[in-house]
This record gives sequence, C-alpha cells and structure tokens, in this order.
Amino acid sequence: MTLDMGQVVRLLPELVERARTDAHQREQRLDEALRLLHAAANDLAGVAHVVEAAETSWALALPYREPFDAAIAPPAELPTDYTVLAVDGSSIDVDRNLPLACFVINLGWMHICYGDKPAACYGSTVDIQPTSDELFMRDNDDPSRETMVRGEALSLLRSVREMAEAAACAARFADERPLLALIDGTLALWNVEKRDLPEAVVTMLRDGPRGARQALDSLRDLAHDHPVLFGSYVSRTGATNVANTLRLLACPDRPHVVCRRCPGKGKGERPCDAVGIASDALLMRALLAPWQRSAVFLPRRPGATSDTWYREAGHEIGFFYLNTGEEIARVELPLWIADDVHRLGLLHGLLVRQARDGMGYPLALREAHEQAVISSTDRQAFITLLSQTCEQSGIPWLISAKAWQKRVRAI
Amino acid sequence: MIDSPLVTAERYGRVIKSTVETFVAECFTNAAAPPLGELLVVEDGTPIIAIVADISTESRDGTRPLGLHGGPEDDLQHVLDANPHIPALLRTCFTGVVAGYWEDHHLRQYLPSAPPPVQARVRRATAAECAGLIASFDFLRLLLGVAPHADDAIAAALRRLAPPEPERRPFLVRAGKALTVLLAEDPPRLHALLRRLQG
Repeated sequence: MTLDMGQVVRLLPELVERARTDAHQREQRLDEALRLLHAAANDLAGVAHVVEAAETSWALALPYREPFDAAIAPPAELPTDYTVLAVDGSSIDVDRNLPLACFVINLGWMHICYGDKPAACYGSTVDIQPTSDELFMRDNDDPSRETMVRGEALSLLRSVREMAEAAACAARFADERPLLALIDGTLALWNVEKRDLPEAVVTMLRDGPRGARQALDSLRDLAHDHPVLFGSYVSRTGATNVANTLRLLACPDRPHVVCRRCPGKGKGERPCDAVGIASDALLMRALLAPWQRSAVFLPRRPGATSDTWYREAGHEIGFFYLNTGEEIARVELPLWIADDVHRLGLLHGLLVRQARDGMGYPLALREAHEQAVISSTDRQAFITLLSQTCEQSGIPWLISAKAWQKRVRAI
Repeated sequence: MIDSPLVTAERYGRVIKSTVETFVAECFTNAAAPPLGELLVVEDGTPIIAIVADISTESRDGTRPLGLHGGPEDDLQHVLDANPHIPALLRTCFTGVVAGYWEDHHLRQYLPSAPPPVQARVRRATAAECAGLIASFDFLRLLLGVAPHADDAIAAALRRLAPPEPERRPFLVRAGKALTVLLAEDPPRLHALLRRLQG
C-alpha cells in the first residue's frame, strides 16, 4: 500500500467539517437562486437580453419557450403501443504496446416493442480501424497537423458513430407506432474547440460520412413520415448552464455583464456568489417533483463558434432536465422535436416510463450498454487474437521494456 | 441405424458443453425445450442417443441475474407484456444423459469414446430409434449413475418409450424387472421409482 492512510485519516476531518459548515450557506444560496429563478420566470426577453450580451466564460442557458421556472408533469395519457430503441458505444483505445496500432469501437443497441405485440431484439456492431493512415485525421490546409484517433478524438468519433447507428437502426425499426430513439451521453459535440483538434477533424466528425449531420438529417427525414422521437440522455448531469445564468441575473452590472470587470475582482468575493450553486441538478432537485421536467433551454456559450454549426445545419440542440426520483438527468434534443408540443410530451412521457422500468435509468439504454460494453475478458481475447493473427502473418510483436516490466513485476 | 434427417423430428438446440456421460445444449427457442425424459439424438459427429435429465432457464449473461418484476397481483402474461426485453435476455438449456451411440449402424448401449462435439445439433429421436433403444435395458445403468434427476428422468423416459396398449403393461413390467436387478440394494429407491412408472 503506497497511500499513507495515516495521513489520510488526519486530513479527512477538516474536509468533512468544512462541508458541514458550508451546508447552511449552500441552503441560503439555493433559496436565493430559486427566488431569482421564479422572479425571472416569465421575463424570457429580459433573460435573453442578459445572456446574449454577456461577456463570460460560463456556459449559459436561454429558456426556449416555456417559463424559466417551468416544472412540467408527463402527459397523463400515453399510447400503449410504442417502441424504444437505444444505442450505446464503447471502445478499445490505440495501444502502442500492441503489434498493430488500431482502435475498436463497439456499438450496442436494443429495440423493445410494447403493447399488442411485445417483443425485443438486440445486437452489436464492431468497427476496427487497423491501418496507420486511417488512424490519422489530417488538416488539408496543413498536412503536418495530424491527429491520431485516440483518447478524446476517439471518444468524439464514438459519440458520432452512436448517432449514426441510432439513425440507421431507427430507419430499420420505424413503423406506425411511436419510436423513442435514445443515445447515451451528450448529443452535441460541445467544447470541440477546446480539445485542440484540427478543423479538418471537426469537419469530418460533423459533415463527413456517418457524421453528425448525416445522422441528424436522416432522423429528421424519418420523423417527417413516422412518429419518431430522438434525444440523448445524460445521467446525473453536472451541467451548470442555468446556475451560471442565474449568476448573471444577480450581477449588479446587468444587463451587460462583463466578467472580466467583476465588481468583486480583487476582493475575492463575487456579487453573484450569493446565488452560486454547484450545479443545475441541485436547483432542479428543489424545483422539480419526481418525473417532472424543466423548461426546454437553449445552451449558449459566449464566443463559442461550434454551436452555430448546429443552427446552420437546421439541427439546433436544446435540453431539459428530468427528475427521475433517483437523480436529475439532462435530456438533449434537436429543436425540430422540441418545436412539436405533442412530440415533446411524448418524449417526456415515454422517457419517464423507461426510467421507471429501469429503476431510475432508461431500461433500453441500460440494455444497449450491456451490448456495447467491452469487458476485460473481451479485451484480453482481442489482444490474443490480434497477436496470433499478426504472428501468422509474420508481423512481430515488439513490446516496450516498460510494458514488459509491468507484466513481469519481478523484484 | 439412425433415420435420415429428412424424416427426423424437430431440432431442439446445439451442444454447448459436453462430457462422455452428459452434455448441455442450448435451445434454439426458449419456448421449445424438450420435456423431461425425451429421447434425443445428437447429430453432427458420432450419432449419440441420450435422454433429457434436466431443463433450465436462466439469464443469458451469468453476471446479470434475473430480478423480480411485477406485483403479487400481476400474472405471468402481464409481467412479460410489460417487460418484453426479459425473454430476449434469457436462454433455456437442457441436459442430455448419454444412453448409447451408433457404430456401424449398431446401437451400443454404453459410453462413446469421445463426448459429443460442441455446437452439434440435437433433435428428437424418431420412433424407430426409440424402438432400437428398448431392445435392451442396458442404458438404465448409465442413467442411474449420473443423471441430475435420475429417477424422474428414467420414469419419464420409460413412460414415453412404452408402446400403446396392450403392449404397454408388459413393457413396463420388463422395465421394472430390469430396475429391480440394478437397485436390489436400495429397495426404497426401487419402490419409489416403480411407483413413478405407473404414472
């Protein structure tokens, strides 16, 4: 054991005591945030003005069409015949200690039919990219700027592939019954510019084959002819869009808030700290009763260029929060779903059913995850198969000295 | 001699685990498992005749046990209608106890030299194949020693193998006499098994 538990035990009481004494202050800040939320509930134009004029690094939220403090129950009447499709993905990252540099993406899906003809089917699709060329995405303007598809780039690629798989499966399963199509995680390629990826890479993820645009176009076209609903589900969200927006509303400099000119700068105390809460989840837990959803919000990030792409492509993304009783989830959806009141209600209602069946998490997503997950046994089997295939083809497996030492661990 | 597959009965599943004495097969369809005591033939490889000694349904993923669904007032159909994903995530398997094998068109009522191959298909035995088995009761010794529910499997198999009246009673009497020899040192077990034969 290299972690000195003696030191840990001496440090923990201070940490816990600080959290305990902060609790009262947190309650006060939450009450103040709620008061501000209710006060601004129907002043959507006023909130929009503050948000659009703000110069800040914070991610913000604009209420779309419903009151800022809306707490909306699911529809009382829902169809008994409907289907649910969920897609999830996992991956094996590039490992330089393997005989071949490659990544693996495994996409799992589950389709469940409820009503007169109950049924279910599931499956998975594997994508292995083995060649060095395909592992690199290059900037056409500067070919020396290249990004290996690994780490964050692989994670983004996987998200986009999940969207594409959802679109493909939805096309296969859509019929006259409402179809709720879900993917796990965030729908939008947020913060792409912060990940320092070449523009060509981002363009490929958005506009390339099996990219985000193609998937969203396909789903929208499908929704024209079928009762298809689509969204992404973020479990136990840590987002702070609404909480940050309340800070702007509390700022004495509003309606034009410039955080660089904060009145509290230099004093170590920001006026907006009076309503500072750690996450939107804390706010929504106080606002929403179980199974209620919040208003639909539009995310806004001053200075971010990536958001405009969605608007220009006709797929602007909104989100709402859902209290599942167990947690606050964030549901992201294209506005062409949110604009249709009936579809929005149906999305809400069917999500509630799924979360109830799945003990707080959409059941179909849970099962899609089970089809997608790559266990440690699977990974080891993949490595074994890869090394055997390479050996049979005359490709040697040269392992680094460090990796060898990790395996042997001899003294 | 085993019958041509063209006149064979339905295929139940494939072998997923095997020894020379027993095998486990997964059903093609959960709802179409063979009943206890059914006579089976393992195709694909040395043809083997076996008897169903156990049937089970469980979660397909051993790390995910099936939990309880529905309330006390919900009948089975209601629970399955409300949870259509459950049947898709289950599998039904059956255990076959080897009763013999065919070699040069002769049925040997002792263990083969190798277990049935994994992924071999398993089907119901035809009437002719069953008739070949009951020419002798040597296979009972194989079942008594190894079947998970030996007595119930043997009784169910013999009731199935018994021809229609008026030959039924004489057949069961002959089977009873064979069991009497095999279980001479365990009278309570013998009597219990003979009562099962009367079904």
